[in-house]
Amino acid sequence: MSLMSFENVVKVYPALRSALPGARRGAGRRLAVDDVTFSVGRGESYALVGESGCGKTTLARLGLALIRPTSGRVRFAGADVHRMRARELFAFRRRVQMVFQDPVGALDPRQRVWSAVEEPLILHGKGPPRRRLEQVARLLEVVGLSAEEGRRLPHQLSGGQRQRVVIARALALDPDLLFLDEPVSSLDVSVRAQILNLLCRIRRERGLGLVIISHDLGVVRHVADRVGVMHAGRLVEEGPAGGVLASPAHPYTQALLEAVPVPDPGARRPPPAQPPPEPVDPARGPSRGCLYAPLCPRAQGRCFSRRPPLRPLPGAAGTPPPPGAGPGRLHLVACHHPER
Amino acid sequence: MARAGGWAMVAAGASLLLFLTAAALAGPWLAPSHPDEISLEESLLPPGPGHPFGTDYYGRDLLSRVLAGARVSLAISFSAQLVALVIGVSLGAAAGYFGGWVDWLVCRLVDIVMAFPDLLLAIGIAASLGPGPSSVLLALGLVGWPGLCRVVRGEVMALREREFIDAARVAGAGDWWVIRRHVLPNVAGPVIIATSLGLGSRILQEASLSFLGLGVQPPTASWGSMVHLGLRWLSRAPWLVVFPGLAVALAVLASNLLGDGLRDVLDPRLSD
Repeated sequence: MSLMSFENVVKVYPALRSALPGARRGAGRRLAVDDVTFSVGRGESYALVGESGCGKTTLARLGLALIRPTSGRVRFAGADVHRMRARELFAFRRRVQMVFQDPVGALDPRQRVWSAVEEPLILHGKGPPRRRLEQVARLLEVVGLSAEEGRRLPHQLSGGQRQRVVIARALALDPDLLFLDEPVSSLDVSVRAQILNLLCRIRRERGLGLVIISHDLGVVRHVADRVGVMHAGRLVEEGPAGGVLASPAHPYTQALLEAVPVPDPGARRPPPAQPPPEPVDPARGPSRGCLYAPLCPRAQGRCFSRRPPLRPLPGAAGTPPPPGAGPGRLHLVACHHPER
Repeated sequence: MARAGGWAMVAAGASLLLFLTAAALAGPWLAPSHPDEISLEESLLPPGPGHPFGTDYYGRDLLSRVLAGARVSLAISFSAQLVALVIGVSLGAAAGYFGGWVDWLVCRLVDIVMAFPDLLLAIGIAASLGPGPSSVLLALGLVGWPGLCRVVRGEVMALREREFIDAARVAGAGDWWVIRRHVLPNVAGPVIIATSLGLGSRILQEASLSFLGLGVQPPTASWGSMVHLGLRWLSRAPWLVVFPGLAVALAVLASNLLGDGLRDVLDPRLSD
């Protein structure tokens, strides 16, 4: 049973109105999310990967009902998130939280740490002030912040501490689903591991579902059950994390994996067969065919004319789907010439 | 460097303003005599031991009248700026936060008010409301808000793009909560600066309006009306114009110093 599902979601950002007369109408419209369908189960950890600007963050904002989709829908526990009434939306907000990408921007510069963590508790009427403060103290402890650090202002904290505050705040309401937008990209390596382990622990303890947005494949390998690969606003490959990362089928995923630097120079891989992918501007790409075709070494005629649907990899990779597993367990790819 | 200078300006402006306010409040006890007490045999005396600022045509003690005028002028200017503050902040915050047609409406309103010279519009409003301190107060408030409104609108529009506003929404906050808890506290700095700078304009405008006879009516003293009265005797008794004029200049200087100093101190764009 999926907790949140995206169904054919499309988000077009309108063009900025141009001051120049005669500018083409509709020029500069940006197709940020192009017909994306996927779902996240209860307690599942789903990672969205892809280069910056491919629409990952837009998907998160759609999932949190911060923006409305141009078409398609997002369901949470069966209900359309963007058609909720104020009361339903408020209940939804308690259950779906987000850890924002930039821990500097995500905290009000004038709000002390404990106040930032207490805010969701106040908004959702969680008990009298005394109880709330106890809860804040507990949350700070969970993320490893001291009471003294709780009295500070955001600018008096390090990047790692700020990220912990953002996480404590997101956990305050004991949500069922947590979006994490590049949760560790602003942190240095030692803090990164601490935060990731913290997230894994909380996930185990609370049965929390995660949607992790990241371009860091190391992070994805560490925490994700399933991976969705996005390119130019489209989901191009999806499947169990092990399968997708070990045997990517889409040429874009392959290029993405090859672009990861190898930490051990002795274990150098053969040089990539192609340059790392250039970001593709969705507005300028071929709108009908595969958006990766201009960069793809395997592209053929129909790649430029027909959009490849997301479908199960022919002869599904290695492990046959266990009995009773939903379609979510399948390895899907949107490519006319997937590689095994 | 800029910060040290800023603090010096804040200290100078604030203490001068505080001094003038204290003098105005303590006026009845400080004044040598009642400001409206006529003594025809002491007409037009120059500043001297008995009358530190001299006397006017009716023999009224000028120091007492400047102090009494301070009460009237400062009270009206402060309240007018308060009116401007409330209108400017509410409209500016609404425009910046909600955007769309609200923003359009507020901006057109600002355009209209700003299309008129401030003083002319204030005179028009005050005259149509009839002379008196409350109409001057209202007129100055209605003229003074667009600057603040623009400042607040711009700041709020920039704040809207910040992630912590979205974060508050995700935490379950509604518009009112977001504006009250996250938007307004973060525009406090620019608002304080614009308010103290605006206060200077309000003091000057109040003086102009009462100079034109639109403020408090004689015999009650205000700085502007005292200058007006003194003009007739400018060559024989220049102190009649000099002292109330000086009071206006000091008050305006004080609020401008305070505003500029606060800008140096508070505005992060000017600091490193």
